[in-house]
Amino acid sequence: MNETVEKVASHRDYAGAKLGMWLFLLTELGLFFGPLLLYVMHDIRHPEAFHAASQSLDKTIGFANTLILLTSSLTAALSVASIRRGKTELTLIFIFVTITLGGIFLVNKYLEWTGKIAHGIYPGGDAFAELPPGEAVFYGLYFFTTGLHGLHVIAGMIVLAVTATLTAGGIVNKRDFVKLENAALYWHLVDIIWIFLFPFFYLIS
Amino acid sequence: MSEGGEEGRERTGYATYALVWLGLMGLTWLSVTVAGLEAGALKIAGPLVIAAIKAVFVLAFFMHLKTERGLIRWVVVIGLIAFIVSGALVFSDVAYR
Repeated sequence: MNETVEKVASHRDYAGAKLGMWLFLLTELGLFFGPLLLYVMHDIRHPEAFHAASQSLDKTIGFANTLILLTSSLTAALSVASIRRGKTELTLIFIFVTITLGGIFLVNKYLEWTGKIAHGIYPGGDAFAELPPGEAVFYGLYFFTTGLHGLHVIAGMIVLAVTATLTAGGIVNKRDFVKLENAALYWHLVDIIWIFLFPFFYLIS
Repeated sequence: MSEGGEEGRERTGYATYALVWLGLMGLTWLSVTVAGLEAGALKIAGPLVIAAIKAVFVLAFFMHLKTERGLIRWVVVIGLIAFIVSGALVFSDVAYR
């Protein structure tokens, strides 16, 4: 009897945990797929307006943020690689660097947003109401999609912070690291979404 | 133990991750360069194709799909195909109406 209880308590289903995570990630892709489809549809209707609005975004910040997020993805992957080798301290350092890079990404995003908001370009703003219809749609989609992405970055940072606590407490360890692996998968997805948002909003219009 | 297979799974080396990261940085630079070109079609298709290549790199190496179980790989591939098909249908409807 005791043996059965012990077995049940120690039961871990890596395959199920990861499959569940991947299914969730696909639904997350769907969440961003909708706004991007809307973007394509309106870009076809208002190519000049989308071009003009896109030109006003700061490519340098977009480029820098892409490099920052790609680097954070590297450190997230390295944190999983480290825990698999039993290096707890190194794992914690990599998680910390990942969260810090996420924070820098958000600061850049904040600066970019406040720059636009200062000029009255935000849904409901004075300058926003004066914009040609196509440009208003562009900025509407820009704020919605990058805002939604920013919320995902915050969620990822929180999940990684929780996982770091679990790692420090030994709950996530060399033999049981699926929580960290799933947290890293989430972070990589946030990165992949940005990989597509960057060319759509900053490069191709 | 059920996770025994997990520990035995092929481990990606630190150097591989670093190389993939370097490739991703290079591709990002390339996409900005291509977008600045005068050539019309390449200017639009180029950055999107490069983004897709970058996403495949992240999926395969950082997210370990390259060494992942068959079931998970199939779930992801089928899901992505569903997105691509529905996107292509909407695009063709809007662009050639």
